[in-house]
Amino acid sequence: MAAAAAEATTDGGGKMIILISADGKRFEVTEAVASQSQLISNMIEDDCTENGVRLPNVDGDILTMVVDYCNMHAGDAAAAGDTMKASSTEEELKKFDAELVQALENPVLFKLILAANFLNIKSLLDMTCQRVADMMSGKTPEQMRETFSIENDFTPEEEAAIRQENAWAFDD
Amino acid sequence: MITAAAAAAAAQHLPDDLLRDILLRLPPRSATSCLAVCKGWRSLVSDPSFRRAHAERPAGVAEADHTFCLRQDGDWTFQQRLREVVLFDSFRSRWCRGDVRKAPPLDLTLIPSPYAPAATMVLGSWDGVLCVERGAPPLRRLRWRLFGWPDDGSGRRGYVLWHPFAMACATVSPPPGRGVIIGAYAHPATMRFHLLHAAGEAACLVDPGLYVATAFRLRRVGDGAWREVPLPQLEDADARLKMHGARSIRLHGNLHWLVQRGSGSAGKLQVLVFERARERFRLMDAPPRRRGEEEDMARSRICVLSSGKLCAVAVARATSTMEMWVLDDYHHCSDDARISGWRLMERVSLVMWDGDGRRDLSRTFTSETQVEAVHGEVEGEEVIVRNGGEVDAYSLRRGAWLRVRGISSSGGPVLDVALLAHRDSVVHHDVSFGEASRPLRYPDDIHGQRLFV
Repeated sequence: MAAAAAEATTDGGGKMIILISADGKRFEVTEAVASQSQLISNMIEDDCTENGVRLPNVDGDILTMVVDYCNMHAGDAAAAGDTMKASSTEEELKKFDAELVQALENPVLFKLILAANFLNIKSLLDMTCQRVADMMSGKTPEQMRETFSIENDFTPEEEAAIRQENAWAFDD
Repeated sequence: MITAAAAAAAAQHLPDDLLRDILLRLPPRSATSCLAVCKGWRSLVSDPSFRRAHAERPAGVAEADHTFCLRQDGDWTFQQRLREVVLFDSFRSRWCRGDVRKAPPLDLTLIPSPYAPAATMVLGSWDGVLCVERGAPPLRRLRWRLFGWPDDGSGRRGYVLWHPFAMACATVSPPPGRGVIIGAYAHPATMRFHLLHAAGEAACLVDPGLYVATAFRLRRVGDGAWREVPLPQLEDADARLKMHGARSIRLHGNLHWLVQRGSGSAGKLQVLVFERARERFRLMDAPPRRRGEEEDMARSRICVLSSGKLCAVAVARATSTMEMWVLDDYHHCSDDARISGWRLMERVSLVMWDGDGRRDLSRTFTSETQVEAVHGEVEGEEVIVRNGGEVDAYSLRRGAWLRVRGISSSGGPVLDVALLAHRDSVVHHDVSFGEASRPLRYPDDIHGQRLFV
């Protein structure tokens, strides 16, 4: 028991937590990394992370991204005390975040949003929602439907009426 | 391999509250385009609560440079003419992120006036409308001291209102006598644009930019004349309020200014509130001061944090720090003056080290320094301090300062720079100037910059 506890402790002294994805993949992360998720942070407080945290609605490939994100951002708060160090990590973080969301296409991006929402990781939710908004910005209704695979349920007359009422937003 | 059907499923599985969060981040034009996507989106975007939330989103911080540019004068001539322009650059916001000048500036050209240059001052941006004063003396700091301003008798004075979003503009003549525009707003019910004016004098020569207001006037743009709005009831007879001109803060549909009672340097700091719907003023408490400390109007500001809380900033030279006070419970602050709802959130050091060596912002912070709070997507919450062409940002998340930029880089000689909290929303398209409304024209489109006249 004591040996197992020692094994699950990093040199920083943080306790390790096991996250288990819907498809059974296991991720070992420090408490500091995991508690960026408000959901897990609450579970840690309630002391119910002992046997690993099962995340039945997060797939392994999505959880990999979430864990990468949390690992990257765990040092964020710790480094904030030192201005010089903080600004260099800030640059790296910006680059990492940009690369993470830029590479994502729609279905995966939506899954990541849902995971961030479920796990309650505000900064990741913010970033992914903003990415979707950026993708939508400047698009015509047709392009938006295409991007989001939405079916047009308006009659041509209804759609024409909407366009006419809001001509300022549609004419270019 | 992800199929189209799976993608469709994912889109449909995004719950309404998340979709709403995403659509709220869209610029007004795109948000309105969403009306025509499908019925579900239409009901989401046309909902009054969505429109309200969109209008109340945290403002972006923009910089408006009044400068000169060489512009080609129409298609039929290659002659270049020196033109006065206002470069409007929204550099930190949800919609335009990045550094100064990275976002394409929205150029607002003034009527070419090579013979009477430097007669323009950007006052502010309210409800998507940019307000510019014409006929102002060249330097902001001199505006009360020289030229017998503002009564130059030339008849050229006036306030130009630009509404680039609705492609409209209007010109309003000022009331007689000395005074300054302190704010503006669209009426919540009629969406008609109103201007608020304070008659008064410069506070003192040491602190340029501070005014002592003696009377407040209101004007509905498009019809009607200036009419007086009574000052809030003051206990003492001295109904004079020292204030920072047009630095109004918009929160909960009201406008707010930091004011100091009385004309001397002594006097209690308070927050003046204008309620748009009721068209009346009232006073609210400002953060308390510790015993022995002087109330310092020149080094105090208010701004709004993205949490929707009023924040007061007080700079102390003795300790080179900036105190940030937050008003947690806005709605219960005004009723009982005995309980102060203000809480000291953070004390920030104003000493920083960068490429230029050691700098202490408390040394350079004057009555003319402009302060705004903004919530950027990457940077998080920041307090932006603009001082004599230098812009510094304090990140609340990192607890550190970042120099946004050194000196202005718009190319031409910058005559006047204003830091503005600017917001566009689906609601702002409805803002109207009534009879005074004139269409904005695009006379030029050079290097992707739109120029309005």
